[in-house]
Amino acid sequence: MADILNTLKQSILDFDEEAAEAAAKEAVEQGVNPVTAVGALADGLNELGEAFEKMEVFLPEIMLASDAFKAALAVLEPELKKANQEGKKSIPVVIGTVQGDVHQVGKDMVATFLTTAGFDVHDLGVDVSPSRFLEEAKKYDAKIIAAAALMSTTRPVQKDLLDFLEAKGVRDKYIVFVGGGVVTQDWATEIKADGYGQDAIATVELAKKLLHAA
Amino acid sequence: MSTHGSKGKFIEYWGRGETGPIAFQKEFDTKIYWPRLKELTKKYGIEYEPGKVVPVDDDELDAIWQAGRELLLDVGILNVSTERRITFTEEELDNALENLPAEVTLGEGKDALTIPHRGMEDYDSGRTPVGVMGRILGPISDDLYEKIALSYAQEPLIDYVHFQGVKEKVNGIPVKPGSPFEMMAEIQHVSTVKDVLRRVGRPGFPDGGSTPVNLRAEMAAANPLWGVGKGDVRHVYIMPQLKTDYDQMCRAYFWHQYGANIWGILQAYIGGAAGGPATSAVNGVADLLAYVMLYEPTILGTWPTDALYFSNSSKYALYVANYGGAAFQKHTHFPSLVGAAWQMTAGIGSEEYFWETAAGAIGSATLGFLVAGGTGHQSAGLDQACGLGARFAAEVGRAVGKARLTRKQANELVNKILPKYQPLIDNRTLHTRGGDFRTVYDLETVRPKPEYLAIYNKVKAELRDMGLPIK
Repeated sequence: MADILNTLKQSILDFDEEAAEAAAKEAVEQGVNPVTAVGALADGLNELGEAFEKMEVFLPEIMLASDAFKAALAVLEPELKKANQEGKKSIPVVIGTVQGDVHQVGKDMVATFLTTAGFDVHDLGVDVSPSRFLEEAKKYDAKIIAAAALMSTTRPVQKDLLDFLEAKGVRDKYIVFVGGGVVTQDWATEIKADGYGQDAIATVELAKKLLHAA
Repeated sequence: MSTHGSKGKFIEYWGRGETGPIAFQKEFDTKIYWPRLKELTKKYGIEYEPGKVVPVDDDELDAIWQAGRELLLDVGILNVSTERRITFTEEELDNALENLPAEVTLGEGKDALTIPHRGMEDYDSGRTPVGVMGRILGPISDDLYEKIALSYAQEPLIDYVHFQGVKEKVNGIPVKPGSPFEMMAEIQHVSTVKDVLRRVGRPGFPDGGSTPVNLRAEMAAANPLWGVGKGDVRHVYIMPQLKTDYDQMCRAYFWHQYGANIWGILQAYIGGAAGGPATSAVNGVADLLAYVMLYEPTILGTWPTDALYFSNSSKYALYVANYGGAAFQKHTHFPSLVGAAWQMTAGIGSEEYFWETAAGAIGSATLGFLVAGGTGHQSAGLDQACGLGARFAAEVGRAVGKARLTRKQANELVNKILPKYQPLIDNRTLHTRGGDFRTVYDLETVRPKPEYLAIYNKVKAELRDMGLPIK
């Protein structure tokens, strides 16, 4: 069993989607506990997260590793359900850059760090309207909504998002993070966001802290 | 106005975005751009090592140039609007480079600035630095808008400014992209800047401020009588990494037909999609070449940043700006490349802000780039811009010329400066240092306060102790 667990982990470290899917199938055939198999994949992602922080691997590679993780998970999920062993489910997060803003690098960094930290990240891309944030948050049963803005002119849309959630009576359902080049703690406090991430590492730490508190 | 490069060929090149190879964005990032960037960086043996800030080895620059050139020729640039790649032949690239001008002019009338191409360590072909760019960026309070612009306009050593402070509200209404309030804000912004420039007797002074997100708002101030002049410059964006879209082409087209100029930047996010410092430097050359091919810029700049903690002045960012920029400068006769750092990480009221400015300006002046300065606090804080920072960048550049620094000497000097602020980048706290415009300038006289001048003079004294003959 150790071999197949190593193969699963290695497929993530190699950013290899096909290998990850094949290893997941092999694990199912061998009767490996699916929770253990998912754990091996997560170990690979965690290791990549640490290497990413040290600039040993880079964003495109993490994106490929994330695809590999999802491909393997698609094979393992039916087994998890069969065994009624879904285990501790990943926390769903929706993330995007707010309407009118097409900057994506900072948002991508946060999404990557959240993924490698074990969150179930749904990246909505850039130019995301408040209504779309809400639709997608509902769809994925998200616990966290993370909204980025890189420009002073798009920052007010973060406030729109919070106003929108309030108006729809669902503000309490979500932890809302704001971040981006022009965002400060003062701004986050002013618009009553739940958290502000100065950078990707701080955002992940905050996500863990706030979820724990909730 | 200076036209050059691919001269009118851009219509044909933009059209390739309708017929070029299809590539979805994620596929482009992960399976086309990134593997080729890694391969080319390895093929040419390009490696970052600690201590490399200002390039001293020409072979390394040749390698970065060749790798960057091949990257653009191999992968092209993705038009995100059509999800097709725009590619060029080697002959097209060579023709465009050969057709670049040897000098460009910004501004109009007596305030016009002509910038010639300058080589590395060339102190005998005109003044050093070859030009000085001030920057105002980030949110600016309404009551300070004019004063901050004035603090730059009244500095004689500054040649060109990005008056790009953001008005957050108009009549108490938030300024959002695409709204009429964005148009109103842009009209107010440009009118204020032009008024300030007239009041200091510099009506033709070049303004490169590109504040609006939406092109319609930029167009609202395109009026030769009171607004954007033909000597002014506006930004067109090549997005990280090697991507563009129809919105950017519309911007370029509008300003070209209007007769104004275009600026663009090498924009590598180090640690992000552009990889580490070495791959980012290669990417940087490809970025600059892509601008030449698609947008005929009058002025280009180096704007790499650490992806994890936003800094234009870190050891990595300076490496990418200096190596990527110098590789481009060495192999082209492009005249107007603005060096690092375009915005400082520390607040404008701190000593670190001046050290960051010095580290960037020393490399830039030695390599033949324009120097830059003015904005602090990662351009995120309120009222984080002042003319003294840009004046300081100019003075550092002049001292480099006076000392006739070799690249080796410049590299040694910057390596002595980096410990003054790099540890605060490493622990991600540098942005917490320093005050804002209200705390550092006298708001009545619009002059730096004595206590602010004391910080500026302290850093200058230390630079003199390090051997830089700054006045």
